[in-house]
Amino acid sequence: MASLRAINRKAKQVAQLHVAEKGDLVGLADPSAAAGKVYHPMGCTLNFTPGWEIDISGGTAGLCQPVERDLFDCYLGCGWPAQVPDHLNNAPDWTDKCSSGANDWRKIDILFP
Amino acid sequence: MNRQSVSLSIGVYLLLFVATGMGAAQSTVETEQGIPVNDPLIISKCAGCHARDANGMMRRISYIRTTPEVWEQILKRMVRLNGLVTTPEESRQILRYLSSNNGLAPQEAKPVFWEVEHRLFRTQEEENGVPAPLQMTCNQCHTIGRVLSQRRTAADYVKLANTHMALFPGAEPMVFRPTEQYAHPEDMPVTTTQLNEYEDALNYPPDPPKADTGTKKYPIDAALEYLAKNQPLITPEWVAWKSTIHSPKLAGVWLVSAYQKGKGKVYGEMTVEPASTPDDFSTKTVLHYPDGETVTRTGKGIVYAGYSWRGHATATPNAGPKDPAFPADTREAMLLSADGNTMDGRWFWGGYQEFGLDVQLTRLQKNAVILGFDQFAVKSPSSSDLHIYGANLPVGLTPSDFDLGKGVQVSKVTRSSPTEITLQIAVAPGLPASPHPVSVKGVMAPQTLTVYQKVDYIKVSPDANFARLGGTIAPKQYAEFQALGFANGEDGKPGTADDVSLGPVPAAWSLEEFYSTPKDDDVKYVGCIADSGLFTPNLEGPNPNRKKQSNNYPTENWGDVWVNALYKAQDGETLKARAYLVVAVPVYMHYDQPEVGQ
Repeated sequence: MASLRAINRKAKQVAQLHVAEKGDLVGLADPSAAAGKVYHPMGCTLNFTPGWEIDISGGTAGLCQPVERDLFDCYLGCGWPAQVPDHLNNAPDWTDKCSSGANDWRKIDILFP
Repeated sequence: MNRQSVSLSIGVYLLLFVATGMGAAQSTVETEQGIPVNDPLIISKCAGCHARDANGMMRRISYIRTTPEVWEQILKRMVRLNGLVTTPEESRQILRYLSSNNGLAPQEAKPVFWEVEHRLFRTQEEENGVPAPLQMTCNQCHTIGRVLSQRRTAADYVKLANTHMALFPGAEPMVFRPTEQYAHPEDMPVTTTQLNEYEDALNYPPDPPKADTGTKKYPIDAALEYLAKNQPLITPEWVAWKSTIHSPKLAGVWLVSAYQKGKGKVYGEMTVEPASTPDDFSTKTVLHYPDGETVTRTGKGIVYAGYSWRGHATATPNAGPKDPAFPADTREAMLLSADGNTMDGRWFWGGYQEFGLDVQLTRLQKNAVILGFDQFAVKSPSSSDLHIYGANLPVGLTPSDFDLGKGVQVSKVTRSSPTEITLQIAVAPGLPASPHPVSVKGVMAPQTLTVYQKVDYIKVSPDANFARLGGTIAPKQYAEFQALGFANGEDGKPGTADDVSLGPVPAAWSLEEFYSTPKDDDVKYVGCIADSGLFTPNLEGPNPNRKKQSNNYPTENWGDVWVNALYKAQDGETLKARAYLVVAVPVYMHYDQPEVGQ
């Protein structure tokens, strides 16, 4: 990128992305250890469609929409049976007080199966 | 699903059902030896569905061995789905019987004790060495600890898989026998190169393999094979342990040597007294924190299978409870050693049990013992106070009774009691960075005191961490960071084998934007980090002040950020290090069984 210069906003964003991906090694005492590794924390599902806590790249950029807005699809679709209760057997009345996920999410319970 | 596709898929499912029934590896007929169940309460409560034969074998129950936590999970499912009715007292009795009669041997429990300690590692794959066949199946949805905690017959593992598919129908096409749409590559991507290859394959999928209905091995087949071979019901360790199970004699005083991330080394003692049954105990604990605070806890403990302690204790209220890192209400999981004189484990608390004291308890005997001291490292030159903790220590000590290695002098013994010694020490200039053994009148300390001239570099521990939003309907999952100091060692180069670890160092903490999506401004929304290194996440739920760029709808406070640590040395030099933090949404189900310790 040395001989190229960004002259509009979009190009500046591309330049920023390039610098960001190269990474900033200031202060990383052992850069070889963490660099190039994808971090899937313990406690997160590894079912990436696109994911509950994290997407497959280990971040949150790929997640689709707020959980609460998508609550019924997550619950009825049973995509994450260890994160969200399932409606088939274990928690059929979990969203009885919640007609609109986005508005009523505060009324649902945390379960201890 | 519309009507047409429902009737079509019934036909497909019937075919699949028949096909799976035919597979040789999928037999549900019990041919292996089981474990007889002879407890009258269990027979009366369970034999209605779990028929008991003349040899004392009860269906399913006799073919499973596992931890108290998994037994409780099973019991709760029987109540929730299968009409079991029990009183709390009956449940406790059932749990105790099964955890012993159908429990694990200590050697089987130890490698996976982190599960009952609710210990969160950095990642599942790296630290725990999750076997690949299990990672591609079980580990996709939940953590692997509960799987590694089980020992079953081959037929019972098949039934376990079938129960999963019956309760969670998506498990089969998405994970157990994936259709091409969901098929994963051989390994979960661990490096960014693998990740790029994986994503390329999703966009440009390779040609599907030729249909091979007879011998195709699905991930679930590999998992069942692995489990039947590596985690069978009857093992030599179990046979040996089973015949020796007895209630251990735990009454007495136990010395506590502990470590709490972010706080430092903690010392104290726990007094254990017998209670209502030979497996029940009441406890009183006194803990001394490095900042001078003393915490008193009272509680109780239960021993399962003769070696597996589960406890619960509450602390004397003081100013502490506002601090989430204060151990106000803690649960305990500890493993009793073979000689019955030490217990190792974790005392944990928090919405996700993320806070913990790593503890080692040693039975107080007659001999003098040093548990340790409050500092990790001392500077050359410097003078400071050092607190040494122990038991049966000699009193009336003078500076000449101590040996702290070359160049470290004791200038004064400020306090000398059988359990605690306070010294004023002076460290000479020019000493190389190295650990010094410490002894008091010939009694050796189990840890060394590191001497150093300069902190050459720092690292943040952990280098990647995880927090969950919460505070409205779900608890927060906090994330604790600390900065660790290092000296370069003899070769003068960082990152080599001779580097000297100096323990935690104080640092100034800040969050910095991690570039993933343009203008996502994660730093503004994910939460904040305190001087102590404790990160507090923000509230869950859609945030009306944060609109997603692609549509005008409020999005959540999730995000990924850098966590920066800045260490300022006495000579003014600053050292920096950073870690990665991802902040995610809560889970609505907590697979947690606090009742095992109550």
